[in-house]
This record gives sequence, C-alpha cells and structure tokens, in this order.
Amino acid sequence: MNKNNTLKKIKILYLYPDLMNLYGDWGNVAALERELVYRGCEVIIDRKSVGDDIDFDNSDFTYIGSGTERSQLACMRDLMRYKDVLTERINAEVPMLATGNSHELFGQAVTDSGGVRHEMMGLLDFETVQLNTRITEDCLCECSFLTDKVIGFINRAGGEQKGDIERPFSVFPREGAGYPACTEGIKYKNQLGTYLTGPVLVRNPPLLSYFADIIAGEFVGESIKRDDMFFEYQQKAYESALAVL
Amino acid sequence: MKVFLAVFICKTLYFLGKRVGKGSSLPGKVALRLFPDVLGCLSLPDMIIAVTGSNGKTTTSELIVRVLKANGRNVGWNYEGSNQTEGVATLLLRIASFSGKVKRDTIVMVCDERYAKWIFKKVRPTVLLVTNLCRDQLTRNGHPEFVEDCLREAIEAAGEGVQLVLNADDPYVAALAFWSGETQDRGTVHLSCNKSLQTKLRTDEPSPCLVSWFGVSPDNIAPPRMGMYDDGAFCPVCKARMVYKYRIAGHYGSYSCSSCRLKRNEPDVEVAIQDRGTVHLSCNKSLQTKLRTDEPSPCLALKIKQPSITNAYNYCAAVAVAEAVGVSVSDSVKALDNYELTGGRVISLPVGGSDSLLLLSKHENSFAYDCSLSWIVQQKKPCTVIVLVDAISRKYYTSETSWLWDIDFDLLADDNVKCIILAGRYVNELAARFAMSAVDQTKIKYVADLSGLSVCLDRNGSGSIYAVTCFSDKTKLLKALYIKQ
Ligand SMILES: [Zn+2]
Repeated sequence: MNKNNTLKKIKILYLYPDLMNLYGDWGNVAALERELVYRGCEVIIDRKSVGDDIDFDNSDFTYIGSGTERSQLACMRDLMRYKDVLTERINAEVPMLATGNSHELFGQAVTDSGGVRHEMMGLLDFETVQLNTRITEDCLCECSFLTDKVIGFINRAGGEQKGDIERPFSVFPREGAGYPACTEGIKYKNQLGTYLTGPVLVRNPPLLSYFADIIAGEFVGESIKRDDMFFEYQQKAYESALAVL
Repeated sequence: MKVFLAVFICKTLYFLGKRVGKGSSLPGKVALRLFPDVLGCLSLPDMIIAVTGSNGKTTTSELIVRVLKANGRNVGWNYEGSNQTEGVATLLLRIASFSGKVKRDTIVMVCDERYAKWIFKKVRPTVLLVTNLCRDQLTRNGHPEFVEDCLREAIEAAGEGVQLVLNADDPYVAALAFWSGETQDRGTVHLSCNKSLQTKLRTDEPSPCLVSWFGVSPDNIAPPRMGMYDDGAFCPVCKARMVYKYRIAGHYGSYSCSSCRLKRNEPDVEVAIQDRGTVHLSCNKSLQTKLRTDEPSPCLALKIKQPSITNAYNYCAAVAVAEAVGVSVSDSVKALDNYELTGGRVISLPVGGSDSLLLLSKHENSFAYDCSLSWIVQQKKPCTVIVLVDAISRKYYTSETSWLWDIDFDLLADDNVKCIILAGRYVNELAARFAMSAVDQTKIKYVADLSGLSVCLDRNGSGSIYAVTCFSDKTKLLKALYIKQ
C-alpha cells in the first residue's frame, strides 16, 4: 500500500440529480464521497442535468438514480447526445452505477405501458417492457462479484427484461412477497445497473467498498476523518437488515 | 333478497365488531365477497363526495362533514373503516335500509388514491376532491406520477358530470385536468372524460366536468427552503423545466411550464394565512356571481386551532367542496371558525415544557416530515426533538428506509434545537442519515430500545419536547413516555 501525504483527486459525475432522484438516491453519492474522503482522497462532485454540457473525460465515477417512467424518457432524450462518449467511457472501465430504472437506458429499448417502443443507448443486448402495474418489494440478493449479500428494495414498473445477458444479482424476495426469485441487473466491465432503488451504497457497505476500491485503487492517504461514525451506523443497519430479510 | 341479506350481514357484523371494540372494514368485505355487485343495487343519495390524494384526506373530510352537518345535511362518512372498496361498502350497507335505500342525503367517502378507480366503478361520486399528490408510501405507491395515472383512470370511472375540486398549487393535481382537458379563461377546465365526450366538446353542447380550484395565497408565507429534492423542477406533463413565481411548500406554488400549457389556475377559493391562527378565505368574483350570493365581503376570516400550511390547504379544500355542493363560503366559515379537529395531527404531550407536542407525520412521507420539522424550527423556542421510527407501516411490513434520505433533516441544524433523540428499531438507519446531515452530532442521542426513551429524555431533554413520528408508532411512543391515552 502506498502511504501518501498528497491528496488523490477524484471526480464523481452525478447525472440528473434533479430529474432522476425518486428515492433519496443522492445518498449514494454522499456515501461514496465519505468513503473516498476517509481513504484520503479529495472529492469533487460534478452535477449535470438536462441541457448541460457534460464532461465525461475527466470523471472517475458516474452515478445516475431512479426516475418516474416519464422522467426516464426525458433523461434518455437528453443523454442520447452522449451515447458514443458514454459507451467509450464504460468500455474504458470507468466505474459507473445506475440504480432503479436508469439502468434500462443502457439496453436497446424501453417499451412503455402504452406499448410505445423507445430506443435506448444500446450498450448491452437487452430491452425492457414496462406495464402499468408496479413491483415493490424488500429483497435480499446474492451478488456475482461480491461474497457478501446485498440488501435493498425494488420499486419498478411491472413487466420484464428480455435478453440473454449476465445478471449480477440473484434476488430472494421475502416470504410471501408478490415477486418471484429471479436474477436482475446488468454488469459490464465496471458498470453496475440494478433495480434496487434508493441509497444502495448506504445500505450495503460491501458494495460501497467495492466501488471505492476500483476508484481509489490501493491509494491510502493521510486520512482526515478516521472517527467518522457514519460507517459504524451503516454497518449496524446493514447487519440488522440482513437478519430480518 | 340479495340486498336484504347483504345489509343484514353488514349491520350484524358491524354491531358485533363494535361490541368487541373494532371498527373495521370486515363487514363490507364479507358482504362484497358474498354479493360482489350489491353496491350497484343500492339506492344512493344524489350527493356523493369522494376525497382522495396523498395527504390530508382524513382531516379534510372531517372538515367537510363538519360544514355539511352544521348546514343541516344528513351525512354518512367512512371515518372508521378503510378507505378502500370494503370500507366504503361497510359504510353504505351499514346505513342502508333493508330495502337498500341509503338513508343519508350526502355521502363523504375517503378513497385511497390508488384504489379510487375501483371504488368509483361501484359508487360514482358527484364531487371528487384531490387534495394533493406527494411522495407518500413509495413502497406501495411507486411514485406520484404513477398515482396520478391511477387517478386519471379514477376520473374516467367517475364519468362525465363529476365535479372536480382540485388543488391549484400542486402541478401534479393540475396535470389531472390537463391531460384530457382544455384550459379556458378563468381557470375553468372542461374535462373530456372519454372519446365521445371529446367529440361533444367540439360542438356547442358540452356536458363537461366542471373544475373548481383551491389554493393558498403566498401572503405572509416565507419562501420555503429547498429540501433534498424538488418535485417541482420539471413539468409532470412534458418534463420541460418548470418556472415558479413563488413557492408555498415543496412543489406547491405558482408554476408555469416553460414548454407546454400547464400552469397554476387562479383558485376559485383561496385562503390567506394572516396573523397566528387566523386565515382569510376569499372566493373570486366570477364564482360569487355564479352563486348569486350576497356576501358582504369577498374575504372571510376564520380562526384555526392548529394553524399550519397543511391545515390552510385542508380548510380551503373543505370550503371549496362545500361550495361545490351548495354551501356558501360564509356558511362554511361560520361552521369552521374555532373548530377543534378530533383527528388532529398534533397532540400535546405532558412532558418537558408546557407546550410539548407530538407531531404525527407519516413515515415514508418526506413532505409531511419536512412540514413538521419546518414548523418546529419556526417556533424559535429552545427544544428537544425526538424522531422515532420503529414500524414503518402499520398495514404492511417493509424495512425500506430510502425515504429517510428524502427528508431535510438539515432543518434541525438550528441553535434552538438543543438535543435530538433518535429512537426505535431503525435507529441505526436514522443515525447514518443524521451523520450525513448538517446537524451537530454531539447533540444526538440514540435509543434503540424504547424502554430507555423516558430516561434518555429526562437526562438530556430541555425546553419544549417535540416528538415526530407516524401513526404506526404513536402508541409505542406514548407508552415509552408513560403517557396514558
Ligand atoms: Zn409541460
């Protein structure tokens, strides 16, 4: 490990914080910032939304949260300008997290509940069909790239995703839930997409470490906030959720 | 025979339920199970008022009932049952005669915003009030636009001729009128509820649904601070950016879309908050002409026992509904002046200072929490704040706590807030959330086991005690503080 007195600069690109933010999604960016600061990094958060010029080149991590179905389409209309550069960045293994329905943007298409098919970015070979019903469920997931389990809540339009791609999460809903055991999400290089909604990096310390490891590498600086209680509460909450789910 | 049996079963079960102290929706549920179409066989009164929306349904319906009763109406109200179909069935069958005649001249039915479309297929309302649409119980409701879609179906189910009473300040509610409607002068929207009606509207013989709007005046209301999210940032119809002239709270305010025609309509009934506890109600001139009333002044003062922005909307909505069913604004004001809400959201607590309060704020409803927290700091009094989250819902299980991240706890980073006690099963989730807030962490105490709450409060509490929690945790809180109910 390198001990280093100089700060490592990290830029987090936070996309559409005012449009795609249904379930306290900002907590993901806040938690990651905490974790990186804890590891001695200097963190800059670059918030970009509809109509803004987005600079993908100098970012170390990209986050996008959940929106309503109408917001999702508005988001797509805006983000389409950056289809090529975004694809390039994901292929260059820049880590990215898309929670809730924002990960559907990376498929081929979304068919809305009215039956209209909307073209998406087409990075991965899957497409989503939405119904005018709702799936809302607490769940426990096994995760293909972590030994620890991941907990959370799925809140999405009913329907299904078609496409033969690898799914990172095996979902085990609570007993009696109106939701079958299934696999879900997308994982491509360092990009993770999931129907888990809200501050998943707050609720899952292992997932937070996973991203921080990729972003900061082995860098450990002179930490300034070793006494941050956030991590202790976060861990306790995670453990108690594991116990009941 | 079917009607007779359904009424008999419902009345019997209701009577037995009362004997064991349970007012539930079981009687209606059983009756509907046996006779699914029985509600269609009842002879209903001419006036059926449906109350739906995210917040304020119960309070507003209580106010409506108060006004109508004071003005000589014989009212039936589903205050004790559920607000789904079974609750409405329980009410109607319980008050029906054995021949199926519902023996009231007016029905006030509180309807769940997602289930209204099913209820209206069985019982069509003549007046439909939509109080507001906020982030509420997302674990069940998905999100406000999903609920809005459900309500559009509900309006269709209500059919033509239904009079809508809508919150002018809430763009999500205004969108309901926008989708299928045509905005005209003076904010009257002629709704086309179905295709054939749409055709009619093009002709000179419209049979439109009339909309009356209610809203709160910005006078004397400090601009609210922006919370953790802004549901008014984008137009719910076309997703272009929204422009606000002013805000009342959250996404309530005077908005207009930068792209489509969605904008705040001038309210027909408007309430202005005056000095503490008084509100002024006014109705616009054209409405007065329409009603041909001889009101001495368009502005009527009314004293409210529990003044807040939320209650300003509740009172205003109630007056607008009463007006829609023929009770003048001045008669409503007389009935509501100094009225004490029985189902109030604020309960005084016999602990700490003399003005300690329990502020009931629905879990999973950041809007309600933000309102309570804003109110606390606006009192500008040294205080202790208890936030208790033990059971997220009393109706269903969830451990989903994302909604805590939508609440603006930074509001409590205030010199008057001397101590904050986080309590209940979700104390660690609360603690993690507060660790990300601007609140001075040394002021925070943590109580996982509620049996330690009273001691913790004795040791650390000072000033007025304000407890913020949900109905689902109210009993636990009172018990933990040794307060008899
Ligand atoms: Zn618009």
